[in-house]
Amino acid sequence: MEQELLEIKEPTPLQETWYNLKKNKGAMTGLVIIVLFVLMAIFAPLLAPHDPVEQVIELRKTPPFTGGYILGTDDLGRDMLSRLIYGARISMSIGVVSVGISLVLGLIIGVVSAYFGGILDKIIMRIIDIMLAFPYILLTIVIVAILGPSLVNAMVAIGISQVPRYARLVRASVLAEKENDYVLAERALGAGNMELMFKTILPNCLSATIVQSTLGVGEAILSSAGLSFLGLGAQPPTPEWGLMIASSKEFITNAWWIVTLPGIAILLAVLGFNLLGDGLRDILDPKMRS
Amino acid sequence: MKDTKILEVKNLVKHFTVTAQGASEQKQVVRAVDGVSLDIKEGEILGIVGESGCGKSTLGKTVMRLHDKTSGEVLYRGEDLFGMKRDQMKDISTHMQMIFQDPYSSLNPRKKVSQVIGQPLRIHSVGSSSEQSDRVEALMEEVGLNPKFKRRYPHQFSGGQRQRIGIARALALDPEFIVCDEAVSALDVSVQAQILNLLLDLQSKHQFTYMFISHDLAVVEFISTRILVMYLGRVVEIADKKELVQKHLHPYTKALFEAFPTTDPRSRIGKKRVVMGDVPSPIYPPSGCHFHPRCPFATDKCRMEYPPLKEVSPGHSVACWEFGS
Amino acid sequence: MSEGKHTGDDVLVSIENLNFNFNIQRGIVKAVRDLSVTIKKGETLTLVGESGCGKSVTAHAINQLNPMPPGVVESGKIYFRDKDLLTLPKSQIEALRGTQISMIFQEPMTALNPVFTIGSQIADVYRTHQRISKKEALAKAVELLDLVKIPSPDERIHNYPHQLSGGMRQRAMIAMALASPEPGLMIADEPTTALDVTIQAQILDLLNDLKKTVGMSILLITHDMGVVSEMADRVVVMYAGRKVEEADVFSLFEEPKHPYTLGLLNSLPSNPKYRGAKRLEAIDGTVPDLLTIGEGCPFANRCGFVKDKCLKEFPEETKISDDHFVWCHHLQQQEGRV
Repeated sequence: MEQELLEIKEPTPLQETWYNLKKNKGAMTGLVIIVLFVLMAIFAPLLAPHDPVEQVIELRKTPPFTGGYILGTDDLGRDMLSRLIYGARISMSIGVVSVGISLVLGLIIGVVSAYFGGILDKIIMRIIDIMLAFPYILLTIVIVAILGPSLVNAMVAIGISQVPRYARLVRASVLAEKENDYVLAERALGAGNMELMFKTILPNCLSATIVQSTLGVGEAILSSAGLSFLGLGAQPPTPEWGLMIASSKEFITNAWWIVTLPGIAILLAVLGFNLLGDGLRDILDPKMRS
Repeated sequence: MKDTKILEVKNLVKHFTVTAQGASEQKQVVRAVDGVSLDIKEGEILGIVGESGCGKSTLGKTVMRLHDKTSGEVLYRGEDLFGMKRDQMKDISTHMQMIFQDPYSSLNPRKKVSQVIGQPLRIHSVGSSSEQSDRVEALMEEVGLNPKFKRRYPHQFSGGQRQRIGIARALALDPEFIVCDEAVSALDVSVQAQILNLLLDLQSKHQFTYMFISHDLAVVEFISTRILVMYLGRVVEIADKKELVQKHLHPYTKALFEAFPTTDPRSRIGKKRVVMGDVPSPIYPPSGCHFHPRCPFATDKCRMEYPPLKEVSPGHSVACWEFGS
Repeated sequence: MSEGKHTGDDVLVSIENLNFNFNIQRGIVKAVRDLSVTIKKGETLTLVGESGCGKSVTAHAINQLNPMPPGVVESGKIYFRDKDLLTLPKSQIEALRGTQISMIFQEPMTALNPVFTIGSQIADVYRTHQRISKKEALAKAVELLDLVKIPSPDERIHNYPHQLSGGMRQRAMIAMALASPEPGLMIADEPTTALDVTIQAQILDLLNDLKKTVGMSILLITHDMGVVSEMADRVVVMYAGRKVEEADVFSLFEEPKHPYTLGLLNSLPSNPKYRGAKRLEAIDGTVPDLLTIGEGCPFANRCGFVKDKCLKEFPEETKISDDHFVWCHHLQQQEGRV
């Protein structure tokens, strides 16, 4: 009889998440948007009808749907559509790389700080408090100013400036998780600190981090656009969305598409990540489950 | 029964410092274990009973060196546990194991059952991976789980089955000494009986020595060969089971036995209970004998001085002034 | 079948053929099935069973504290003082709660408001039902705390819940449940499960005293046979949503009939028959899943006397004596032969 009870197929945690995700309309919309952007980024050379940096001076500021340019051209006669498609490549990699940097550093700092506690924890947390006391954009600008303005440095700067957030988040969930008896049990079995920190505790703390990093990708895209707009990120002629807005802001009255379309691209990408992030939060947060 | 001591605890003290929440951030000391000495002999089941806050769980975890000690000694087969280096400690974990109370928090929710039970084998690199897998299946059979379900996650099992998983994990390294910390307390009565039977079966098969910690007097009385009663971090009485059940002397032990609900509804008529009042906080234990504010026989001496643990008959010791001299 | 049996002036609560389901994502959980229970005035009726047997759901069906949805009353009636509670408007149910039907919980911290003193919380209960001044209400609160034997009650009314110990909190909770002009039924849901055994003994004594002095009925929900034996007048044993045995407390402990009741008593290490024993007579197997449970006797898969019939249909009532009923095919057959 005991067998019968267990014969009922129960989904693995991953399957369950996917099942709940499919029912969440917002999250699915977000996921579709993200997948579209990712596909665009991967297959940019195949999708783009033109070279994104090729200038056709005669055809400057061609409005959308004219002369074979679906989304028109910019002030230097470059194809908007191609630039936006290639821009997806840059924005997606900025998002992933900078979140990757903050995630890795944040996880390590958070886990170590919470696991060992005591004076080490106090010192780390005070440093993090100081970092959080700086306005975020100012911190990023300071880092870029030190490293020099470039796309890679912008990614690093955004990544580092977000480390405190992840570290705090991870620390909080590790503090809660390490109180569980399974941690003690595995220690009693002879598991070392490294094993306990990264193999035992950390996997149980990831759900909050997954939510945060999904939302973080959107924010990173926005920040990099902001940095590029200020001239601290991508340098011309890179087809970066923020830079595209910055370099065409004076045309807003006579060639709206040059400014507006990259703006819409940023909006959609960020929206996609936020929708997915919010959906994941609802699904993964045990408090929201009934 | 052989008389070899497997574990000796000498005057063990474990204090926790907590920061009181409030206007003044005051540091307070919780005297969880406050000078406990005991021996456990090979093959015996020492039951440790007491109410919440008496330090029984802390004692169990400190004996396993899952907590640091404040002072005192824990000797495992004569060797000082707290003097051991990391490698020695790792070796010791093949001899001493622990079974936990909560079958929900004591298993890692992200690990499959095979990984949970196989983890000790992996940590100590016992055998090849196929040997480990065979061992996991054998262990599951031994504790009454169908090995077919080894690829399931803990949440897919019932409380009793999860406790069996925890037991299998503790058995994996063939230990000789097992601390059971409220191992059956979270379970339903009918499942509790199954697990108690399992623990006893395993004990007679493998000659385990148990330190069995529980708040439930009936469970401790059933399973143990010797019983130790704790109150606010200290041992108040210790004796062989038979002796303790029939001739308990300490007023607290008496109160425990009287307060414990019987399964005879007729005995409730005209029943008089002795103990009133609450269990004091281990942060501010009462002066003298910690039990004196609730004790009907308290004298001035009890209020001033803590009574030493005195042997009143062979193997039966009591910490009470009434039996002290 | 049991209609008309317990109706009369001495009946306070009568649950008739209650079926209570939870409609969840994975299906329908049949939490309570075809349950009929009456609570007489002034008695302590105990619902006993292991987790998932439906005892709490039944109790919460009376004061309608089950979450709805997912909870659904499939069919059945619940009468309280001749009012059908399931058809009463919400406002009237709310008026009954806390006045005629009060409740004490396992963890009093969840039921007491942490930001108000216990005195003002008890006084508030008075003031919602009676037109008295705050001063009078506080004076009554002091009386109540004295009734539940909280030492120095005139000081304690100014305490916040967290300043009290677990046992004191449970006493305060009981005082609150009594703060009504006409206490009728007190539902006590595992009232001592979170307490130490010496404190449990005190609370059980208190409840027994109060029952006599205040003259209320107690519906006690517990998994602990020891608590049953200390408190109950009559006992209903539940298993997987069904009532399997009903008896006065003495018959139940001295002549348990249903194989599950027997198994439950045999599972207790405190059972006197285990003096010096090395094994308990445990019930093998596990409780069936309420999602997939069939029409048969829910205990069939763990029962030593199981027959084909047990798997197909739930047995009719077998009367052992005027106070003792059991639902079991095996016993039906036995009693039939006698």
